Amino acid sequence: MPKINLSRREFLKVSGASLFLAGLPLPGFTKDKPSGTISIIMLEGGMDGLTAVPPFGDPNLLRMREDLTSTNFLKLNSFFGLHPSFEYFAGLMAQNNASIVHATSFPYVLRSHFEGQNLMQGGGLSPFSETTGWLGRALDLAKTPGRSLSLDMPLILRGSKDNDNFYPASIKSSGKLMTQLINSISKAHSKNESTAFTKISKKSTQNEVNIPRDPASLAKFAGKAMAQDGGPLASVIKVDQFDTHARQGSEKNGHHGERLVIIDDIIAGLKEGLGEAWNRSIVLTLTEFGRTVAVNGSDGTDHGYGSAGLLAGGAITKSRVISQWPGLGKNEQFEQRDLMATIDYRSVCAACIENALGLDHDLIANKVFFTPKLPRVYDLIFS
Amino acid sequence: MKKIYLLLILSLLSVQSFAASCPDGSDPVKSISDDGTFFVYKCGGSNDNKTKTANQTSTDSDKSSSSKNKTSPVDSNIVIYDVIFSSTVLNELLGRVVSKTDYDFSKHNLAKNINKHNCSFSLSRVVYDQSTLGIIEGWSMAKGNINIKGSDVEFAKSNWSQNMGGLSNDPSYFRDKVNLKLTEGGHFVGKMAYFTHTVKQGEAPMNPLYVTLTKHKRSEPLNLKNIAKSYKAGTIWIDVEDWAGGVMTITNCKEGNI
Repeated sequence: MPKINLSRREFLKVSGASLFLAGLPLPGFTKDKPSGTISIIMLEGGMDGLTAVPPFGDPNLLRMREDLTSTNFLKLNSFFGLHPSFEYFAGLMAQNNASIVHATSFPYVLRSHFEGQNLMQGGGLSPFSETTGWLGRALDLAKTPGRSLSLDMPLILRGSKDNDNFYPASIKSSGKLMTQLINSISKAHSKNESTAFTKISKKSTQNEVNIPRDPASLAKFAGKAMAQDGGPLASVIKVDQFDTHARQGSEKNGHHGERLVIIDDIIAGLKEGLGEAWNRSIVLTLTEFGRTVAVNGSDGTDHGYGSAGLLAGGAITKSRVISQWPGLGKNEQFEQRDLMATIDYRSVCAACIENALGLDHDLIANKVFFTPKLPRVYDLIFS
Repeated sequence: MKKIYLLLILSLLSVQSFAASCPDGSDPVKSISDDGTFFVYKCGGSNDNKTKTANQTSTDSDKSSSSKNKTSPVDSNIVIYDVIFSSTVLNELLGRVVSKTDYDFSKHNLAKNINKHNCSFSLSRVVYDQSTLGIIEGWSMAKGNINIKGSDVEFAKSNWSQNMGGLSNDPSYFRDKVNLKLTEGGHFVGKMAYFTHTVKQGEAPMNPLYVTLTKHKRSEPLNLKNIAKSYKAGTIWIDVEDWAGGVMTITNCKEGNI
């Protein structure tokens, strides 16, 4: 048997990503199927927006973080650049199918991963205040709670009690569960309780899915599923290891650069899988917070506040960088250490929901994000 | 006791100031003081450059908006930075969004005037971990037929071995993920999906590699003057990875396509 040589880069490419699909329309429940699809890439650890999208037009950038800024970034305009890891994303920007929102964040400033990730998924006003997620609530409002294709149900997708989850296991004999036995047990219970057994029975008869587990393949699988008539409307792919406290690196082969390549691969996979459906799709990244402006003592950055959000999809017809740039001067930084966030990223999420699920902004602001005055930035992204 | 009363009054005032609205009925703007030690509430939504507010767009008071929803203001200070590429950069970027099998054949002299032929092929793995020349394994990774017409090369009724497992059992890879041409020297050039790792049942499948076929120095090219002259028409060597490659033996060529 020949040995298999895996380089570090190859190992990273096949590790550290999870896929969740949701919003499979339920026959007899879903009324009007929304026309679009929404795909979320959750970047756990806090992506460094200043490395991903360097604002080279700000004179303080190189003064503050020369060692973290790629020398090979792509100039998007006279102010913002794009990290060389985003080869595919750069192509989409050239096709007017991708945009960036910079100096943005969820409204969370206390720099805890646990709280930040909870708020990022919950979409509430404070961490751990919500037991459901903003995407799940949006799918509920669009009357497509459907099912989540995952081992666990991530908070972001939790919505109504109608949500259900399923993961196609490939464990030997797992598909041969005795459905007859389950049905017999089911009959011995009340109607409500028997529903659970029906679900188990259905799960056990699902076909196995033969897909590689690297992020790009998961994304391609998600795209293919969403492109199908009656397929899921939403997908969530989780990527970790953005918490770059040490040896962050500046180039494509650095630690942070390799994580950015994974984002690029995921977007490419989604586009390939979606095919024609790409034209009615939106993909967006989420991260719980950004990083400090200055480099720390171990050539990395620490937990911060503002970051950048990447958007891609055929729903975008003009590539842009959207920002109210706060500046990188000491007094312009949040608490004199972090990139200030001047755009509430929830309004970006709201715009994407509006585009994909056809919900009214007021409804999203009130029922999804519980913030009636959440600004509407739809026109900035999609006009 | 006086201190307790004072504290009570101060805390009530504090609550009152937090809950109060501005004279125009709008909510006060919450910001952080210059030294970052306390919150400042201001009316009028002024944007003091020295005092940065968290998520300013969500706290600014009503401003005109082009959105359909006038009750949800968007901060007019948000700037759209258009993405502008030079024509050279733009062309290079647009060229990046390509298929994994895309290949530039312009550097090759491709075969012409070759009548329709079909041949059988068998693909074997060559492993290099014990010999720099490689050891050809005694089983076929893939088998099937190749149709040739002019410089066009396509696989027909071709399958990867069941032993390869994983995604290789999907016949679409031989059908849709191959972009090969025949050169006038009798070599196959181009790119194709290629499975080199064996995936057992229960293991996570792996994506194919997209290998480039070139004029390999160890290949025995097809004799284009008479492809069907002998049973063994040629052998095409394929570089895949440093530990393994492949050798495709082409036999039994006949006129006509399958």
